Amino acid sequence: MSDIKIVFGVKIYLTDHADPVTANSNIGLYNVNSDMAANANSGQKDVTVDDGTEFEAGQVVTVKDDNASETAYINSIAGNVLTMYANLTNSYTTAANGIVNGNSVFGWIQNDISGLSGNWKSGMLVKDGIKKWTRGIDLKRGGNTAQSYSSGCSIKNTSLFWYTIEDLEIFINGLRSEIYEFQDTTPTRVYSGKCEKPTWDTTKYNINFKGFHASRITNITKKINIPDYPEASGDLLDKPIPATYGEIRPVFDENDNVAYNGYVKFVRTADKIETFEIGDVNTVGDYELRGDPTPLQTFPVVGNDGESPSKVYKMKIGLTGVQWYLGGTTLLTSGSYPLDFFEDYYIHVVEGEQDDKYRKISDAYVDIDDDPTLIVATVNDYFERNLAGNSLATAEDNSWVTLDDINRDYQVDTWPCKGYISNIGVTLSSNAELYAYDSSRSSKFDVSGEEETIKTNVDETPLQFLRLPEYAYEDSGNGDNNILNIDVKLFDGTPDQMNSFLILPVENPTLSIEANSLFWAKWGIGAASYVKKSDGLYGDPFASYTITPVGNLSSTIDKEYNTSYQTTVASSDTWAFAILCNLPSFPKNFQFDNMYFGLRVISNITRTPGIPSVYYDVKWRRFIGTSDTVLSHGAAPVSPGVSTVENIADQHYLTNPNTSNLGLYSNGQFIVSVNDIRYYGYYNSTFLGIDNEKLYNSIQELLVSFRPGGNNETHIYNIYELAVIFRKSISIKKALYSPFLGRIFNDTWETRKTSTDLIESPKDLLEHLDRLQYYDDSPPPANGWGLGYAIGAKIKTGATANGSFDNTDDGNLIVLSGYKAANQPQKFEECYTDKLKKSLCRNFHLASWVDKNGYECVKRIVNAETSPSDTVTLSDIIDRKRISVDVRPPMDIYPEPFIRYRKNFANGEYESIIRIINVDQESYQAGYVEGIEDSTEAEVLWGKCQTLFKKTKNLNKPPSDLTDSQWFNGTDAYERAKEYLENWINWMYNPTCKINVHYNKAGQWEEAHRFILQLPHQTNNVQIECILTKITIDPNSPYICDVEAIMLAEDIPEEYYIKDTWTNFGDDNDWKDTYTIQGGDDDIKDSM
Amino acid sequence: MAVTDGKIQFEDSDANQIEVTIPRFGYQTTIDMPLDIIQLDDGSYVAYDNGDGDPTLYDKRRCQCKLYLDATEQQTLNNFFRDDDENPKGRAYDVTMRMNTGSGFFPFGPDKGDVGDFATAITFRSTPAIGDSPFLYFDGTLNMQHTGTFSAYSLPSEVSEGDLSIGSITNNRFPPGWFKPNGRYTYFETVKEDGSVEWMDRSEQGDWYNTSFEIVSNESKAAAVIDYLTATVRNNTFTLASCSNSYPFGRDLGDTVVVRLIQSQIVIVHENYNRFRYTLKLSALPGVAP
Repeated sequence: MSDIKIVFGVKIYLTDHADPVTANSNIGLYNVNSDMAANANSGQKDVTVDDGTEFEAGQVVTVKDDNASETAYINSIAGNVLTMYANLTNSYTTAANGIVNGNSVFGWIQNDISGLSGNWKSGMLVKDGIKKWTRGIDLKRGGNTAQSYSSGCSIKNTSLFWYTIEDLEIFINGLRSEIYEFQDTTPTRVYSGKCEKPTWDTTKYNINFKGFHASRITNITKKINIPDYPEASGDLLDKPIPATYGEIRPVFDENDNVAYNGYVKFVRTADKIETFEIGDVNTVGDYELRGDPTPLQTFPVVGNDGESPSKVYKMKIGLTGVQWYLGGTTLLTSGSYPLDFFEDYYIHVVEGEQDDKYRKISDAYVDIDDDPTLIVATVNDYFERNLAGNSLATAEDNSWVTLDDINRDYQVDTWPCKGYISNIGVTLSSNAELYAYDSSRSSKFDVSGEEETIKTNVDETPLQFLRLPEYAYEDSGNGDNNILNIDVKLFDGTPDQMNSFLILPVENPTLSIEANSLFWAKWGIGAASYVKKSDGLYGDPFASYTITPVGNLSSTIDKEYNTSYQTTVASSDTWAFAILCNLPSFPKNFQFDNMYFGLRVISNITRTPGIPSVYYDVKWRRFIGTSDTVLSHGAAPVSPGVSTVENIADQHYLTNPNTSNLGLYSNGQFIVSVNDIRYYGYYNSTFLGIDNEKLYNSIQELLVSFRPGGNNETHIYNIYELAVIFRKSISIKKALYSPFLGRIFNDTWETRKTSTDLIESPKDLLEHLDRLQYYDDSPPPANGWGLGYAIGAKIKTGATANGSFDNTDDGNLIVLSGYKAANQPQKFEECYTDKLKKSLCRNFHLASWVDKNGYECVKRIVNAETSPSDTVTLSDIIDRKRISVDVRPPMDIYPEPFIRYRKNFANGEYESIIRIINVDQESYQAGYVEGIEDSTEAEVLWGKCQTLFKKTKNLNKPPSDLTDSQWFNGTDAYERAKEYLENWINWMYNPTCKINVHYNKAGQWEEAHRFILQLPHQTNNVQIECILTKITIDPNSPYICDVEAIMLAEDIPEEYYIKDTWTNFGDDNDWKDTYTIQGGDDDIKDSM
Repeated sequence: MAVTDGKIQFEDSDANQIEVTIPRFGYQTTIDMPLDIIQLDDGSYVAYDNGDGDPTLYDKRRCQCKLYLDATEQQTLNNFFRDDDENPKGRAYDVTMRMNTGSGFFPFGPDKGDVGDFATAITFRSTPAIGDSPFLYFDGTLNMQHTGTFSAYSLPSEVSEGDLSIGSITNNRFPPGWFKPNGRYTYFETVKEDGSVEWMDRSEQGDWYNTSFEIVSNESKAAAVIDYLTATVRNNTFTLASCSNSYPFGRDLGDTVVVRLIQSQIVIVHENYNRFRYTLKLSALPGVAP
């Protein structure tokens, strides 16, 4: 044996880099600093010092000279050149005594070693003064995060150490602590943690250490607060913003029914309604308005621009004393001035004509020359009828209005997100699919097995996500894809209730080819005597007709505003021109209140002599029975005249015609001139009584017909668009929902990732959370801890490093790259990194720990062998009598496990389940496994659980942290849930063991370390792979490491191993080396 | 009332006095110094003196002694410590213990003398049984705790007994039981189940050396050493200079070593006339020159 001296030491780092304490070598307190060896200019990252060995990367320092100072963080060190993360703010010179100060440090070593240099003091640690340190992770139930196990040290207090440090204002609690192992004079860090509250007596000053886990916890979201969300009312304040991960979208079954309501939640962050009020002096954008009288909030409409309909209204805001100033000093006495201030405001009619209606102001101005007491505002969309008002506000039903700023911001995350997708996963760059959630409606369903009907725990799954048609709003969120600012087009009574529309073109428009009498019998249009004159035209059997079609009927459903199908009909008699069509397929997962027929038709009509007239009819019918009328309208402009019927929203068209939704919102007949009569408003073409999907689907066909009012007319019908309009009044008060792609990396992670990629692999998610944690030697992120990556985050990387996130040797870890985790924690307490990390580890069988250098590590722990290099035999054991093997206690085995997944983020309920039941039965029957598609897989799993039941003879209720998945909501949720259940079942077979070995054997082992255990008795001399769950390391004689580990079970029923042959009495080679968790029928053993 | 020769006198605060025969040899004096001592990881010891060098503050001294009393004296003693009438006497009261010059009874150490008044708390729980050897004498035990301030006492002139120097007290008798070194080379072996050994070596700098030895001395040397240790040395270092080739800490160290007392309690047995016995435990400071 080589004579290597092994001594342990302790370092405790102060936080005094800005103002170092006075060093005191008598108590092992040293300053860490080095003079600058060269000037360091502002804007550069490099600082050259006399001795770079004083520092280490990741360390926080103060760079200073006689003239300036600043805090900096060392990114890397090359010799004596310290490279900071950020450029220096100031310049520093050696002439001005430039220096770099790190945190001072206590350095205590068990005893001196010849040749030892550096900041180490012996004679401070009391005998056995470095406590045992423990590393541990509770893997009994599967994946987990490591516990903050402890260590500590005791130093002499006989010289009043406590008083010395108190005098120096050194407070031990929370300081970083490290334990080093010296091999000869080379120190190696073997433990990192933080100091806890010290205790002391006259002889000893005891400092307990604890792992970093607890101290690194941060919350990754924030609550709505006044500084960040000034437009949030008291109802919204203190509500958390969710965190959104992965791809979440609905899942549909083979019948296109919703199997999973996968929508993320956008919580409302702005809801204040600020009503414009005139006081004595008011700031209106660039202007100052001095009111008369004051205060005023409600203004009369005193006129419009004379158009019919009109969208320009004049509102009187005071009397003769109203004055406008520019910049608060210059009285405006003439001219017209735009009032951009009002562009985000709504005109809210509070009394009179159009009471309770809202319209957004597109622009406004004041014309001093005309009347400085008038604000003239143009609305985005027409009212149904013109607001009423005259100059004295004495008009009948005079409209009185307020000017309201209505805030509607919604936020899905505080972190940049990938963005919106459709419900089938197509990325949307505009027109996000938004849904509201109606909690008043729900439906129940049962899951049926062949033998019995099993009432599931998810039978309250609602189907009440209501899609907001994109015509109803405009998304004006930010570039981070996490804020939705919807510009609601039309409120329904209150600003929290949105009146929304979904408009779909009809399908299969064709000219009617019904036989003569059948047309009348079905539709009752025209006269019973009508016969078919040509396709689409019915008329008197003895009259002659000319019909000249131009274009194609497909133009009526092309969503183009200016393309039409045209037909010219002329006759000395009357006729009925008829188009048949079908309703479009009913939208998925959709609810509506009312349904209307949408059309845009312009008829040019002539009659000589006399006034022509045109009648429009829209009807629907089922496969039998009478038809129902949707629209029946007639118009009679003076010849030659034009009759327009239009009621489709601008946004329906691929190219927005920008009519301010004149047709949709204006209501009734408008006579532009005697030759031009227009008929607007969706209200006038209602499918009465049709208000749900079943009734909708009962409609077999639609008729759109045009008729003259008399003889000798010529009509030119230009049919631009035929559509169905769904209207839904939806509450947007609290939240909106959408299929969505959550957080992106938003950083390259040292060139390892693409910044704009979606984070969805479990190990990437874990690293993301690790990077959001608090690191005491890292500068705080700009938005605060948890809301940005820590620059100095300590993440284990490297292709071969133990615990590395990039480990390429660990196949169990590599496979995670293809997994798609998704989750949206919404409660503030759910958004703490420790809880998220733990649930992630639980769901994906990960072990997460902090290594001896403070780096975050990961490893996958599944029942798959990895052939580790470390082997423990009896020759390594110190005391064989302390070896023990503990089978899993029955209360920790759940023979009827289940996993709930696919969480509905509106109500928090799970909508899918995999469950195993009836394991006390003799043999498997279909229905005993619920939620697994493959019957063979189901039977295999049931068989394993039946064996577990035989081991335990009880049916424990598993805890929710095992059954309620947090992360199985993505596109591979079913596969992940199934795999999780399989791993969980296998894991329940695993016993645990306790062994004891020397420090030289296991002193460097950490959590989840894999090793082979081969003992004559306990393993029957068979090699069994183990996963370390706890190790207690004693740095004092006799230097024993007590190890606890999970033994990857040897007694999973052999029929579930994928073996085709079996030898009853074999040798070690018969111990299974690999097995596949699921196999097909062929994988079941054939013989034994 | 003057104390009768061969007697000790107890007097309460009301000046009630009794006398009984002086305790037998073999009584034991215990000195508790307020030293909090601890060994460090490098093997050395450090101590904190709560008295800050002043033995009058927190040092405690007590004595346990045996009395052979006849029935009359025993009755006297019992009455003094049993009686709970209004007079104080000795029941649950401090008393003054008084001896004549040359009494030879050093209840609280040879350095505090055998004459004069000693404020004392006497623990005398119950009357002992009478015995047959010596016949018709009660064999009783008194526990005394000194409670006041020691009167001035001049140490006797030292009478040389040998060559052992304990600090400034020279010519002490060489320990008749020799030295009992107790040290440790700080390399540690851990035997495994296959019989092989794992080594951990803390290096020579971690080695440590202690020793203990029993001093037997006359009254003058005992008084001088105890006074030196309790009034001067306490938690400080001093030099132990032993006879040539006596190696008090073993062969690695020499005969003269800078040491530190690693005991806060010294137990002194007054074995016989002019012979005291006590044990000292010392830790060497190998790197410190004498």
